[in-house]
Amino acid sequence: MGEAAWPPCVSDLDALYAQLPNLADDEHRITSPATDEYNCVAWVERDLDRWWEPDFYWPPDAPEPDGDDDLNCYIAMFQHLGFEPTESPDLEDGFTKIAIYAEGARFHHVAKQLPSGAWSSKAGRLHDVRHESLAAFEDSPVLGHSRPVIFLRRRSDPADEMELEEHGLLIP
Amino acid sequence: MSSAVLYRASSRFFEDELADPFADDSDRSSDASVEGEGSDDSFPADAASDEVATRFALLADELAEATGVMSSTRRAMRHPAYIEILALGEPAIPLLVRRLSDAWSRPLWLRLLGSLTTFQPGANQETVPEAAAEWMRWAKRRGHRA
Repeated sequence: MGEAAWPPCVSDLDALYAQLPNLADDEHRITSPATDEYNCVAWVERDLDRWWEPDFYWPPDAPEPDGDDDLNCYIAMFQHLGFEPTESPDLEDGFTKIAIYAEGARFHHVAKQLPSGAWSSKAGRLHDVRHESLAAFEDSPVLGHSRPVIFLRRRSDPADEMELEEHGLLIP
Repeated sequence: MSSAVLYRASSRFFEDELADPFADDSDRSSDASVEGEGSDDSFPADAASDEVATRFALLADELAEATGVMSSTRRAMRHPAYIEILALGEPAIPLLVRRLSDAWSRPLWLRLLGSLTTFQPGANQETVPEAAAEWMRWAKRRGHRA
């Protein structure tokens, strides 16, 4: 059959920067190879084996989004995981915070805060990225020009320095 | 044409398999069950013309490149290339299954397979590689030659 050559010639990194136009201007570090085995929701729990989305993997007993990426159900799912609402994304001693990007009532992305105050995101089926500001994932046409609108926090383990999120495993 | 119409059209072929093929049933998912079922020639495994295959490749590449940072495959369902792949109908199924053999954008191909067949994209598995393997076994049972 005549299927054209693939994977496509556009590299994953090119796709990353094309789809996240603010990333290049933000101080950042790519901390993993591209992988389609987990997404940003899984990354909050450092689950490198599962793609967290209804019809793939979704935590047992957590409410599933009704229709297309129901923001309230994502919030409820994170609360099910022990997160609670907080007002700001500012670093707070003893807590790990997450920032949920949404467009109206639609969930688009979630980033988690590192002990340094920077943020770590898994970009869809592409790379893990440590980014200095939340703006790095704003203004993406692929993410509906969504912005971080919901902030949640959870008590953190002081021994967990999030080395994997800060520096990655494979990239020195 | 609406997605619902496309689903119905593509599902006509699966009238003989209305039950969820990925339901917990060890006999069906085991390697042993794959053996001997590959002769089922009712599946249009290699029915895609060169024209359809080439069109599919262009659309699939476009879709994957345009949605790489999406954390939700549901969001990708609105992309024009997704709709166009659905419109290709049954001939797209073996082409999608073939893409599952590469660890690249598999959640997207699984979502499309779910849309085309109405079966569960994740095949009741916990991980993407496991789901991809289940879909490939299913395709083999249906007679698709990968």
